Amino acid sequence: MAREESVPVLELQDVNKVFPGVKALVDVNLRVEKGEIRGLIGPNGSGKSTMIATIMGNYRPDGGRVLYEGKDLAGVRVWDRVRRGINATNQTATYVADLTIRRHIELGVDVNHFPKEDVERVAEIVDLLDALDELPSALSAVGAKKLELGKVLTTRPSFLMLDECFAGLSFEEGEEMANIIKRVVTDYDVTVLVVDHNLGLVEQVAQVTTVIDRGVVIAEGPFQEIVNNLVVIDAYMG
Amino acid sequence: MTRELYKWIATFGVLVAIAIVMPTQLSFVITATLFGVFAMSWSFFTSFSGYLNLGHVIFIGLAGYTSAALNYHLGWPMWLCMICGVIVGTGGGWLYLNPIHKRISGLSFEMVSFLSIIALSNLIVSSYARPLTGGDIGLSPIDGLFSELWLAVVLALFLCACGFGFAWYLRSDSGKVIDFAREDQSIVRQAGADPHKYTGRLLLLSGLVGAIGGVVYVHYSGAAVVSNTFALAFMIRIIVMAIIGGRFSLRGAILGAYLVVFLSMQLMQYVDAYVQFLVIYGIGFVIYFFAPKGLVGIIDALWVRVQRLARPSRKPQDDSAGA
Repeated sequence: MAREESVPVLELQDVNKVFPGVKALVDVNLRVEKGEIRGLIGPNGSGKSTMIATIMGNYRPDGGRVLYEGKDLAGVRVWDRVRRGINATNQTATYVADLTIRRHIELGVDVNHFPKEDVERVAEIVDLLDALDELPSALSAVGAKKLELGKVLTTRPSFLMLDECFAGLSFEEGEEMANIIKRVVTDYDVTVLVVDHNLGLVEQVAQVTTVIDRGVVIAEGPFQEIVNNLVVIDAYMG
Repeated sequence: MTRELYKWIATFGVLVAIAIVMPTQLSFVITATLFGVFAMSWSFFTSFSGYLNLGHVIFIGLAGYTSAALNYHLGWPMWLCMICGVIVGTGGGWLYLNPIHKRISGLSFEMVSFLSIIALSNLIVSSYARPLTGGDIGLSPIDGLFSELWLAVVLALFLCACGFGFAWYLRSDSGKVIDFAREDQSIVRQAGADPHKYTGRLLLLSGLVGAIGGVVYVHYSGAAVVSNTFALAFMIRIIVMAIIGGRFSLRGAILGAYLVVFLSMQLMQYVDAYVQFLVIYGIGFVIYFFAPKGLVGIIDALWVRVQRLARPSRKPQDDSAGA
């Protein structure tokens, strides 16, 4: 009897995205299985952020399909994707300077009518419990990354994309973030796509890594295999 | 919210007191209260949504003209016409402006809402619409409301009830979402909500209150003409009132309306309309330039200063005093 193939949490089928003069994504195929922590790496301008924006619905693909739990996301708006369980943190933390950290974390709880206890729970996970009544402008670089993560956790995502979540952090701060991500995966039963330049930290958290260059997926597999791949070395070293 | 309720009850008390102590000036009180309705409803959407709406008079004008046209052409009772006017003004204005605000923001929204009222005011006086709207002469006579104490009290009650309702809404969970939508809509989308759903509700509430004010104003004026409904000058006057009083302050809009109407009525006795507007708009310019938070902002700053002065200064303890 043939083994029934499992439905991946996220699947990209021949996805293309073109901007004037630039092919940002070219026939991209990607399968992310439930519970996986996937790394996505690539040089600057390789199409990583475009891929996230396309999965989130900020960009409409020019070709191909984005499937979430087997269902085509065409025509599903950003906020509806969030309600279905897909969410992403921004490269640069977005916040309103004169509203407290609590208000930022509360937003997802209020909008989705989740119990208010979620605010404390999320704040505890991202280590911002003591800073809830402070303003976000007082946060350090790692604090801002934690707030960004906390904002999306209140929407109870089942597939989470972390865009450059280690960027601008020291090694120690990066490790702190990596530990928080590992805890999020355990506590939230969430599938994660980690997009970053920091290969060392991606190696720490990701089980499988995908490499993208000039909009094309050039390699995929365990991290050690990837870093020894000549095509990948060529893409990074030019 | 209890404190907020008391503040609005106090505001109502002040407005009624003004009406009672100025029985010969009821036209001033009623006109100022109606402009308070316009300025506050405009400020409610514009200040809190982040969209500068130059087309608020669409709600006022559609409502006013509908009510006047039904009364003038069909002879329907004034109250029925007013109800129809509010429905058409609110619904029509919202159906027109809501899709625009969903599609464009910033300067584009301002330009489109601005051009809309220019186009509409020209359409109203055009030969095509004249049989219905009366062209530049407008629709007159229509059944009127008169300067009576009960009207001043009812309008003050309506104004303060709306003010309290607006304040309550802004503090609700929806209001909290609006705080984010005004600053960065992407944060609201990331939280799983359509920011336009919330700003659209704000527009609807703002339009409803503006439309109610619009039908009352038209029947109080005894005529529906472009100058008291769709005109750009009318819109600017409302904006100047809100700016003088203080953007981001609902009571500030009322204060601005009372001051501008009072000043207009005083200046009217001495100078022509051009000089009158020059003075009022000049005051608006100076206040917005030097105190963007308006009179309410100035009052708040003074109050903080007074509180600081009134607080007893702490002197260092004199250790030798007990020796």
